[in-house]
Amino acid sequence: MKWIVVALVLLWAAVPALFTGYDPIAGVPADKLLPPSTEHLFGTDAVGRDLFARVVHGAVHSLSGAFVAVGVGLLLGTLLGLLAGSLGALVDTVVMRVVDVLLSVPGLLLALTVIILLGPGTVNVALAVGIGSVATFTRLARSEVVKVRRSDYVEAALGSGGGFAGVLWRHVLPNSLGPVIALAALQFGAAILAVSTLGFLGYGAEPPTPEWGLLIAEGRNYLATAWWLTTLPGAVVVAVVLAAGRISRRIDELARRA
Amino acid sequence: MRRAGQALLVLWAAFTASYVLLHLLPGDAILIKFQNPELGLSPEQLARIRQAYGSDGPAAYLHTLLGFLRGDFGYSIDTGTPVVERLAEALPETAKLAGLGFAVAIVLAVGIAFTPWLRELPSLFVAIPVFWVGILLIQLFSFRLKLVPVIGGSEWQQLILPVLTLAIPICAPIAQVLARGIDHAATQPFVQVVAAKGASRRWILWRHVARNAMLPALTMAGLTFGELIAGSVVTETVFGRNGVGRLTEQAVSSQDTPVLLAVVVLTAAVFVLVNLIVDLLFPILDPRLRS
Amino acid sequence: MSLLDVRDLTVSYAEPKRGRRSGARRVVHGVSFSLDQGEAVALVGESGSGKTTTAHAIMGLHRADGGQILLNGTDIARWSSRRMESVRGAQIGLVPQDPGSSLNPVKTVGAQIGETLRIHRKGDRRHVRDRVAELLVRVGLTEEHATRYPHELSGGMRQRVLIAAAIALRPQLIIADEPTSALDVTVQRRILDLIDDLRSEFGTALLMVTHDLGVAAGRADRIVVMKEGRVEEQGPASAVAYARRPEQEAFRAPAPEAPVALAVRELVKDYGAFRAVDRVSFEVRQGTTHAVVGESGSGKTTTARMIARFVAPTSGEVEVGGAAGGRDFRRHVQLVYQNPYGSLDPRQSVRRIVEEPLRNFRLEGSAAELIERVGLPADLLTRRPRELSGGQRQRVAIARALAVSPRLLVLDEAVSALDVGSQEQILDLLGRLQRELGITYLFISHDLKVVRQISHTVSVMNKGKIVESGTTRDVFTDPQHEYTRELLAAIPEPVR
Repeated sequence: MKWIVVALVLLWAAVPALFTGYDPIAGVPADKLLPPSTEHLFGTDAVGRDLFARVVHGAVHSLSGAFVAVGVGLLLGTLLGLLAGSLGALVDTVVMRVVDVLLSVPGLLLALTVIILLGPGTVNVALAVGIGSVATFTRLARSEVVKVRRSDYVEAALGSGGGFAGVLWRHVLPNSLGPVIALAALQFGAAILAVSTLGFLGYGAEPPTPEWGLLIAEGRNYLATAWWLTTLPGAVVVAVVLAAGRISRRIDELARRA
Repeated sequence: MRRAGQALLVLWAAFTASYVLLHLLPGDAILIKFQNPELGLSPEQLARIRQAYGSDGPAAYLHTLLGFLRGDFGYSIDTGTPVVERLAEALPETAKLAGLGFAVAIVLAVGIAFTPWLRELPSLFVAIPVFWVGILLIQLFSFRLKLVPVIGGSEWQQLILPVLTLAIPICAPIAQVLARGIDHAATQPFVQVVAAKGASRRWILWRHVARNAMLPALTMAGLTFGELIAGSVVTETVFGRNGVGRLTEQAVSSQDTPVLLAVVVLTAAVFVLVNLIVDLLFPILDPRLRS
Repeated sequence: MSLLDVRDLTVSYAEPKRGRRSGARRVVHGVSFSLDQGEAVALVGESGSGKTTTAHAIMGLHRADGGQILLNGTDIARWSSRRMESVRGAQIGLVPQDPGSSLNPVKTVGAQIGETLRIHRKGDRRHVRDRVAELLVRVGLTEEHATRYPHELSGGMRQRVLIAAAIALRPQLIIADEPTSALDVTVQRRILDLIDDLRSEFGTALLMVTHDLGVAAGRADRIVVMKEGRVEEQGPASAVAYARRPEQEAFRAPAPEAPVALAVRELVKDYGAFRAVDRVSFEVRQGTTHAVVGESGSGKTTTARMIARFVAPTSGEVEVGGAAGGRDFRRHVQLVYQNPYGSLDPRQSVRRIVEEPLRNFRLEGSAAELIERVGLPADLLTRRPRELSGGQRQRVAIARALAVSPRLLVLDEAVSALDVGSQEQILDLLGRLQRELGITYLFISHDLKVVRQISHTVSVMNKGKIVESGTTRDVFTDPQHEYTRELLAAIPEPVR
């Protein structure tokens, strides 16, 4: 199930036209605010646009944002964690104090600080969310690296004549990566949430882009009359984030069993 | 004492980092506001204004830092009023919301962790966008069931939905850690030894398992304080409440750096303080940490 | 009527659910034995023989799915866990295996002893406090220990606390589940003595679960031997132990005259103010085995790690014949670790693991050849460590160490984590390799039985110092130092 949800959403992002014939931007004013039906699966909005089409076409905005964010966090975090965990006490102390500082500011505020600096927009939101997750990745990567470094097999590898860099690459990195990848899957879900939250607050894509958070924000004005405008896009977000969480747990299990 | 020193260091670093970050702004807020040709200000006048706002060079950094130490957070660029005043206006609202939200979150977390068939709830809760929870609650309780008025109503009525909105995502990680702690403690050999003394399930759960499971949950509860404030930003926006969250949102929209700087530092301060207290509390609860 | 009469007991474990399958695995198949008032019976077997499960089933900590458990003639096998609460602690007491994790870390020792009384509502607060003080003194501690927390006590003291909790209500039967296997040998003996004393004082019956035939023979009236979930044999302790005594091998012949392969001189390691290794010196001749024996904390492992150059000594020197410094040193000296689960990279195949040193030093040779040398079939080469048994893993670790054709192999408790069967096989393998390749072994161990079997010469370490050195025969048959005598006295009977 979790894989189906993720695959489906990825397909939405890749080939939206396969799933809906409606235009996500141009509406039919006569069909405004129609409740969900077989014709309009998710109903229509105030200017007569098909909501399902908007959700499907919006997938690419929300997903690419989350991918960029996780990519930034994963790459920077793993690198910093590996350095902190293997280069000795001084580097470790410096990096971990920086991580402490980053962790003392909640992700959303950190992202907002970055947005004030870079200005709003889809890419900037993704970068902001990514930077907000670097600390989490760094901390996990470091603790895994430290754990693996202390293991007998790493000492044995050094003992059989391996060089420091080679052992780091052949033994420490592969054995530390499992839980980090699991975190990446989890953070993917979290990034979708964060990107949509920033979209909801109005710092992401500009209307009429059908980004998921923005969709929900636009639907707020019709709470009393058109429940589907907020409820259904939100349900899609929840489904994707839940699936990402499940996948993360599965990866973690596999990594720990090895 | 050492822990307190470390906490101060983290705070100072947080201040410096956000100060540097916020002053990297290419076209900063002052220019945006005053460079407008209609105002017809000369470059010298602009420079003077910048100085008055204290936003240039290392001297300005020191000035701002000293200001923060004295409780003077500078002036809001947006409204020109002291940041302290704006914060003081917004803080009580948010404190009420966050305090109640946290309390409800703890109650929910304990309830979930000790009820086996609720165990799956947290993984759902962490997957729900906070703003969407708020919207759904409004839709359900205000529009469908008409239990809580949309506008007006008593103070308590106005607080119920925001508090719930905030508590739901906050309770999830605490419940998860608590549940895991319970499961872990329940498989410890000492639990079997207590069972071998003839203890009932209830005896084992409350006198042994709960006590040991509480420790990691406490750490987690401390760590959620940051999210509590972040959650307030969203919750206050959804419910249109005037608090620190709303203030933050406005500050970001109008690039009001002094306000955001103050909010970030204040948040970090609360976070660091709460976690310092948790750290100091730990040796009281866990004898292994008493030296 | 017997106090305890176990008839045709069967017990199963629920298999951990994987995917949608779940099932039950039977681990105890029709076990019968009995135990009289005041009698001591030992349940002996290797790990996985079902002995601990049997003991837990008797206490109702694990559900029996067939057979009878008659306690004073009443069948308690079908009793609900709820109903068993009145039996546990009051009629049957448990002394658990691992004193380290068997006490709640956040409660005082006194509270945990008194708990047995409070659960069964025996007396008020005052009475409980007095009784706890009494019990503490009885097991060889003091009243003041009541307010201590478990982490403040040593392993032996914790086991005394657990014994106090088990006897608090003077049960008719005590089940002791490997009560001393986690303790040092000298502490082991004192704990077993304490259990003996209490038994004779109160007339309590004892069911002792142990893997150690020596302990069983020394402490029990009768022995029940279990294997693969069934009773293999039972009878009077002396008869069973005698029939099963290990073949007493002769001491190894004195070392042939050979050049010195390893010389350790005045080796010292300080950790802050604490001196872990104190002026240790010895020599080992080429092609012989030297054992360093000691209890945990004696400094033997630190010594081994200094010799293998994984720990820098504070002062002193180590000379390995012909070995230069730097990376080249690793071609001459290899270390085999205690835990074969931790010393092999879980993500690599056996082939990659064994080939790694060959690649590092660009040596001739193949993984298949090395694997064959340690007696493993070639089809194991593609497997990962988790697919191998403990003994197989240790063979892989030895094959890796042999890849560089080292002169000296440092074996740090290399067989301690293995069960008795695999232990024997690995020791045989080591003996064969030494004869074929002329390797020198430094054998670090706490296990005197193993040391007696494999080493030519021995050094006994205590608190960082070598207290006695000599040929294995001399040290074992004519110990000079007080500590060595105590160590030897602690070896259970039929082995000595």
